[in-house]
Amino acid sequence: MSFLNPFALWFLSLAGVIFLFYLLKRRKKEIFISSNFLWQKIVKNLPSPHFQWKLPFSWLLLIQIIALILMVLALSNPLLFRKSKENFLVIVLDTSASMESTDILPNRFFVAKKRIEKVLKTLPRNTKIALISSVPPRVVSSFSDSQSYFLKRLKDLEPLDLPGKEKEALNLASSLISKKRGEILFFTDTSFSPEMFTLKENMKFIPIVSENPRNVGITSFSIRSTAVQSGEYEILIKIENFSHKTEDIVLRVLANEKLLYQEHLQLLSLKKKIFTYSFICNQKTFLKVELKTNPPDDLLIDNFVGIVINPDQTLFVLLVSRGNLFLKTALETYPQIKLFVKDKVSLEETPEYGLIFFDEITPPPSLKGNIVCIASLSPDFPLKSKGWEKDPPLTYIKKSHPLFRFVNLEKLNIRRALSISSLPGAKILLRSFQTTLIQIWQKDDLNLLLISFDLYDSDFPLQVGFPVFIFNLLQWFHPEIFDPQYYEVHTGENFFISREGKNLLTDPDNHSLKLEGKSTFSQVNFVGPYKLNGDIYFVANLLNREESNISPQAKIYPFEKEESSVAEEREKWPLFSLLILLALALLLGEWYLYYRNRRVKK
Amino acid sequence: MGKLILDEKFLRQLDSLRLLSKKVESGHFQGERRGSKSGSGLEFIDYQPYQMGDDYRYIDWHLFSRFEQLFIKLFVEEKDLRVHILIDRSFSMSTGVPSKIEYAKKLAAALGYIALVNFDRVGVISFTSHLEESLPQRRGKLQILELFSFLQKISSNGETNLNLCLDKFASRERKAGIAIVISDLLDEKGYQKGLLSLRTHGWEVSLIQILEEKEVNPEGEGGVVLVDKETHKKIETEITSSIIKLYQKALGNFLKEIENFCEHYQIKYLQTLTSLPLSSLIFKNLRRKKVLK
Repeated sequence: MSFLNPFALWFLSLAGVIFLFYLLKRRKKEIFISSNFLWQKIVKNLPSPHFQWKLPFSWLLLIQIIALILMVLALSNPLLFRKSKENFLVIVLDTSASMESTDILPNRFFVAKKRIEKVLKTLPRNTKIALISSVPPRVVSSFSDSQSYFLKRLKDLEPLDLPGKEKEALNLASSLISKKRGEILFFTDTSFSPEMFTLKENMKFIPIVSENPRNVGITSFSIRSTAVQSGEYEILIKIENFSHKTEDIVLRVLANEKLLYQEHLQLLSLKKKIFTYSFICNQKTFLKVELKTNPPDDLLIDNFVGIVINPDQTLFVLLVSRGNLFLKTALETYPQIKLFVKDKVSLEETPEYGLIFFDEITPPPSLKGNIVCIASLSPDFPLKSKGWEKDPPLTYIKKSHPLFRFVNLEKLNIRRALSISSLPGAKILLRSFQTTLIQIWQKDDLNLLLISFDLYDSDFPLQVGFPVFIFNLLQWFHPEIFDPQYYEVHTGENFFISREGKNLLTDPDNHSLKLEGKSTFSQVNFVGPYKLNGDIYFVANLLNREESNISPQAKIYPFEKEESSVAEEREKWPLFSLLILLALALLLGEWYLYYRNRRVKK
Repeated sequence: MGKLILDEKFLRQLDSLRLLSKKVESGHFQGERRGSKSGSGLEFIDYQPYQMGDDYRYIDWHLFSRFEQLFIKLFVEEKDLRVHILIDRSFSMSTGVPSKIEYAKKLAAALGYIALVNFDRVGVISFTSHLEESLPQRRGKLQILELFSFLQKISSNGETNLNLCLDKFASRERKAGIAIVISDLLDEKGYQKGLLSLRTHGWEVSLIQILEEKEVNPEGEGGVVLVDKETHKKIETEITSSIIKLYQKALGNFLKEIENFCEHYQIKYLQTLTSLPLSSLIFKNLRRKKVLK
């Protein structure tokens, strides 16, 4: 216990004043006896009584003294230190890709686990511990006294080839102890961007990192088909040296395990280099880029990127039109498209086509699939045309939409357009005051792009952006055919599996998962090729500069030397209010006693 | 009708007792006590010649027929006893548990009952600094309830003046008998003169002094003010064990003084505490002191 205002204890001397008052006002007790004539004889011979310093016992005096002591103690503002009934410790473990670095052996993640185990041994018994993984941010073990349970969950935890989500993990940890006393220990290699943290008092970073780790990584990769030759692709690779010394690097590009290119180079410390290669590919190809250093660097998962190129896919497109040369020509440009032109179509025929254009032809009702309606409305669309609107001015263009990538519609002139409102829940891409000119509507199995003006009633087909718009449109409806990078994802992203039927997906660690029909696969946790029914289907790459930069960020983060101070923490308990309440209660009791005594005497 | 001060069972036990006295001739009426004079009792003792004024009923006509002289039959005259119970009802008698006055009233009731059962004449008088209300002398069992009723009404009050009251009583009563004085004798002015007056007027005196436990073993510690219940005089003193011993010594001397006085003047003296059961007092102590038989 300590006193914030110890000088107030001098007021205890007031107890002496109370004693003095009692001595001065002391009244001798009256005893009524039958006759005191015998006493007279005795007292007559005795000396007169002296002043007596001894006070008779009095409850009132005792209560007053105790009340005074309590009030003086309250004024001195005492604080009682007591051990917290429960200490809370949240351990956040960085499970991101960079924790697989082998700069400290066997790797950072293993060392982090060992250091956590060491911390656990120093904790008091009443500590409740929780474990949170940073990737994905989740509670692995909720608050528990059981260290064995915690260790079991810790043992099961493995690092993933994913970029870190440190902010989310720390927010989760803070929310767990927001109303409790506790501490957050973040075991991390600090390979993340520093700008997003609001460090709290109870947050401590425990660095799991060596001083000079070595790493060279592929931080960027992209592929595109060239317009020069059918089946020709161009790839771009950026490699960076995060080491503090020059690294000898061998870069190899392989197609279906066949070497296409190989480079030997030296990359200076903290420098990057970009490589571009072109190659021809007319069939499904697993393209792989490998990077090797001598000696091997500390993080291997960023030394690989891969992609599946699938050029032999064909899209059946139906153009229902009385004749639209611009559109027909634009669609016929792409070798992946097999175009059919008709002036009318029945509903039964529509499932055969991957994309159907209705150019000023009213589509049949109950349509499904990918549909583009140009100046035409299906009777089952929940809107009605109010006629034609002449020269509609453009008032809104959603430039950020993928359909308008590299397309400038600001100078688009439209002579007339159907006067329609937007479909319920539709995304509007282009509109004028009175009408919606281009909108996207997705409902059930229908993906509809509704263009409310005839291409011939505008100068759109004459603009440079028109074929680009058509390509964007095709890529938006069928990215698996028109996006060469469709079969490459970054770890942590989702991948849409468009194959029907029962499928067996196998990840690079040979974990298999049964899938039924089209589905979105959300557990892209490892770098490498993912196989569907035994064939490589897509490839996951790390491609994260922050994870590849495995050097410590000690200049940015305040690290703690001591790993935990939970055991030392004590709870402060101010006693002021309690003492005052007790003193008041005592004074109330004293008043009652005094009042009762007075009544008894009367 | 008065309520019984003593329970019936106890009263039945009292039936076997009687007051001891040498003063049997002092009664007016025939009683159950054998007097020293001849009279109209049942026990024949002698003849004497008829004289003018003798009661014709006692002429022995058989002797007249034989001697032609009138003779009167003489019998042992059975006298009643005059018993007066004097109760000190001053304020000093109000202390104790039970209070001294309550104890005195019960004692008086018991003695009165014994006397009435034995056809003695019983009178009761209370006193403080002067003589208070009194129950005139009466005899016979039927008077018991009236006696109890009178005793119940007695309550302690006022100062005491034992000498004055006893002297006044002795002077007032023409014929002496037994005077049973019940008091705590805690009177600054003394008791001797009053008792002596009774004795000189021919009363056979029994003095029963009632004290309470706290008067014998006083309590308290430290500075106290002792307040006299009667006079309200205050004595400020410090109660200590040595002072208590001094007090007990003074009390012992006081009691011894009384005892010596009573012995000297042939007064039956008995001292009792209110904590002593009444039955013990009556059946043991009073019999031992030959107040009762």
